[in-house]
Amino acid sequence: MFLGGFGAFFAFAVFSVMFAVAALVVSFILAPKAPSENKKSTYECGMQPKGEGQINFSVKYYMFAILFIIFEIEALFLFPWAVIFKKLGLFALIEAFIFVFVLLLGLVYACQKDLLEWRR
Amino acid sequence: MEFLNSAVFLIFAAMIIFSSVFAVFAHKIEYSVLSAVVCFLSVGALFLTLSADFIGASQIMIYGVGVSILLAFAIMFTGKDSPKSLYLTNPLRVFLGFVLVLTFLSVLIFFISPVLDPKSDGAFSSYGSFAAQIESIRQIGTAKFIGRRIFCDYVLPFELLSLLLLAGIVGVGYLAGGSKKDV
Repeated sequence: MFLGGFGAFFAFAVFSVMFAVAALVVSFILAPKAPSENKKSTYECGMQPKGEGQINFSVKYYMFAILFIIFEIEALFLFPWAVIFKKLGLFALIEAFIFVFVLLLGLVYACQKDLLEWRR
Repeated sequence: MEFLNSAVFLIFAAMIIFSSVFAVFAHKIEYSVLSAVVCFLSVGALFLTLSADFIGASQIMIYGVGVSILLAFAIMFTGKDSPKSLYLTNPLRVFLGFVLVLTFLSVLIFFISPVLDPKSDGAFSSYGSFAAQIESIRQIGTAKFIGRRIFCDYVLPFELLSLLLLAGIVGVGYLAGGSKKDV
């Protein structure tokens, strides 16, 4: 089997990357360059920025990342079910519904705890 | 065709090696994380080339996306005062790292070599000839195989997994619960 049956996928990936790289390279080669001190500054007109651009983020946002991974694992385990859904029939459908229902309880709990609220 | 398969496999293997080495030796923590993400995605692509679509998808989804986001968040939490350069300075740590890698490598070779030896009675010898064994190993990582095992043989562990994930959500709620007042 060619590339494990993913030959078209890899060819697509290679060509899409090549399109992006080609656009960047061609514009880099063809574009006229006349750099100056003013052009390199962050804002051409307006306030002069001071210091570094990096700031600390609140740890609260980490909760979103953890919740994201949890629901991603849920989606991942529904993937093999979806592939052979027709062969497995009603029993597997009920199994998947129980699986989703338990995690739906978790989602309700997260809403109750205001975990999904984007706080500043 | 076989040559092209090997070529793509070697390209991804080289990408894994170079990106992981760069992740260790990069001078800036942002570069380390970016190159670790490249390493995760290459491992996923490597599994896809070996027709293990479920393992490849899980590698890309959990490591290439989820863990990468966790790493990116972890960097955004660090202030600009934290040390930027990450040289390997402690010789004891370097030594222990080498010992760990060699141990892991020997364990890996110990477990893999009987399976790949055509003459031995490996773990898959009941499948018949060497080619049939390879074909049966190739089936293991596919979503069809894993779906059949999960939804026919291992129903209870699958449902327990949802409870485990629920416990994770509750844990996040418990950790975040303390900071509710200072909104």
